[in-house]
Amino acid sequence: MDDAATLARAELTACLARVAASDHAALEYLYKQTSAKLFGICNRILSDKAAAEDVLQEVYLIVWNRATQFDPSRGVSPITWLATIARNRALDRRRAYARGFVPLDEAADIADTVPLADHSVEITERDQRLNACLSGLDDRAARAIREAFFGGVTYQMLATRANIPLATMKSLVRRGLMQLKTCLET
Amino acid sequence: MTPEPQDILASEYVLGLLEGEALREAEALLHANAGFAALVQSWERRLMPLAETTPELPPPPQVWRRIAAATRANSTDATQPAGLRARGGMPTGFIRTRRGMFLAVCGSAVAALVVVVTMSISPQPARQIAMLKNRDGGGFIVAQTKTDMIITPSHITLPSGHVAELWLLAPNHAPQAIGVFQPGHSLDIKLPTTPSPGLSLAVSLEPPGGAPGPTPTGPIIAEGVITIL
Repeated sequence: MDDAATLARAELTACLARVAASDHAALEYLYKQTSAKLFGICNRILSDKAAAEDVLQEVYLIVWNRATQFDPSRGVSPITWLATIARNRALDRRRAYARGFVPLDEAADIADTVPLADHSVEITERDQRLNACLSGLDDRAARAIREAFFGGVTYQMLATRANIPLATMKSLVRRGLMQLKTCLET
Repeated sequence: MTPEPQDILASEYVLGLLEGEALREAEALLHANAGFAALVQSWERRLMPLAETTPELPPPPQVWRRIAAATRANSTDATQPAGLRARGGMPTGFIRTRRGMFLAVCGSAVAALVVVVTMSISPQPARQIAMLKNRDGGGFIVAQTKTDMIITPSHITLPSGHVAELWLLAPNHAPQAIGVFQPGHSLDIKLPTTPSPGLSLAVSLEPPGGAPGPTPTGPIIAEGVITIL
């Protein structure tokens, strides 16, 4: 990890500790530093800015109440912790829509072709590595993994979209995931 | 299960691919098996860069205003450690504070439909509270005791000849009707399942007596995701 990323990580860790102590100014600072990233994630998953705003609000209220649970000693970076909360909440919301309650027509059929960003200053070696490893997979597997990650879709939906049998999709994705793991470990 | 299938299951769980029996199996393992939980965490670490490298998008200013209003409203005891604030039972003041937050949120021009539904897991899960909000600034305040959930409409006007019906939405399940209520009256119901992450609640507008079939027929007038704090 480069120096800038190390510094950013230490700063956010300290900030979360202050949020855990109910320091409102720390929450505001955390929001300034991270909300564009988390809003990008929510909007990417939901493809609906109003819904993404709601989820973003929800995410920071969770952070406000749950910052005590962030434990830097477990090796999870603050931004990963925050991004996980944002992704999970956005996927929950997307699944609620998918159950037919509120139409979210555009989001339902979004093909996941948006490439990984390469302009963010915070992209670390680790991020670039995942990108490289994904590029090494079977195209269909890499695409399915990205679609699943952002789409909250099931195997059946992936198989239907790719127009291949369910069992083929399952083995493609499973093999891809294991290859990804090996690639990331080497 | 041998380690490898568990590792695959963990990866599929993190990707969000599981449904039905496989999803329940993974959730049960996650709670009962520290080894599986560690596998899930490893996969989160591997895959989360996908999210973290998503292009940034600055949110509009009203989002922070809503968060600030909500968090200031419940930080009246700001000198107290957050752990105490989040975990202790829920004194009556909590409800007042939360309602204050609810009104503060409603006061801003919010076009969206949803507010956080918070449920506190605490050593004394005596009372939990949730809020569902609608577009017009009205909403439903949800309090929960150990066994019951009490829903009180707030500033809600229903078109004549309609009732409001509450639905529980669980992942991979059809909406489940919970009960019907009238403006000005609270509804006291037994929650058919233990609160868990991924559940949400919605209120739809229905003919008297509620939706005739197993699914909502009218528009959804409020919705909230259950967030375990």
